[in-house]
Amino acid sequence: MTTRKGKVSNRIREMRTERHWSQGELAERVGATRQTINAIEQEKYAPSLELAFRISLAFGVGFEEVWTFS
Amino acid sequence: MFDIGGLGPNMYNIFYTPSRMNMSNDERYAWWSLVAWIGIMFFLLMRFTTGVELLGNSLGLQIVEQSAARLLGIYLSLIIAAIIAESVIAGAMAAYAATQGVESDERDAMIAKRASLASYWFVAIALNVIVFHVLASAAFGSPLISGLNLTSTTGIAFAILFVLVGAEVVNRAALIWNYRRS
Repeated sequence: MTTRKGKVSNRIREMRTERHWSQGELAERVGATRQTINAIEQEKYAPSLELAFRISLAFGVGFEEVWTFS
Repeated sequence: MFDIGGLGPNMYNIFYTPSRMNMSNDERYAWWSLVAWIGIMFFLLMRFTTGVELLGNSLGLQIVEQSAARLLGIYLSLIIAAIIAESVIAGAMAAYAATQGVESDERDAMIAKRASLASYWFVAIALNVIVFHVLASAAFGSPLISGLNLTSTTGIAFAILFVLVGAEVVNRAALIWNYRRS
């Protein structure tokens, strides 16, 4: 059996800018560091399911509006 | 902007930090701790080995045999140096973190795990190299690496301390490497 490596993409930067939130502000809302939010936005780090849900909840939108997997 | 060597942003330049993304407390701790442990490693090599002149000190692959009392003194000095260095750095970082928001999160924990794994592999490989060196030296009658006689008390003390200090250096370097890459 072979497993293909997928890519987790997100719209955090776009949604954050719409709300005029800084990375630090979003980080505070979801209980993460600003550096982690930055790494997620740059898609260098894929967050845990829990943090991904917390980010979606912070924006007040559904999970699939923020995250896509390809 | 923190950019040693002026190489700019690329995946091989772990020293590059864009000004808009300052280091997290854990990463800052890793840098200072790395400097401290490299200093401790330098101290260890200076006390135990000779061969090459560096900054007015002699160190290299030739182990200098020492008396038991002196070995104990060096060992205690290393422990005290490590405790002082880590306490000062951890204290300074804790004071700084008190002024910040979230101190560390899941990404920091993941990076710490990867760094621990890297230092585990360093210890595993280093111990195997030492065992092979000792066994092969015994089999062939002379040390494989000239001057690295690990059958004496000094040799054993040096080998174990080198692995312990080396594991800390590898751990901090792996922390920094992973912070730069993820």
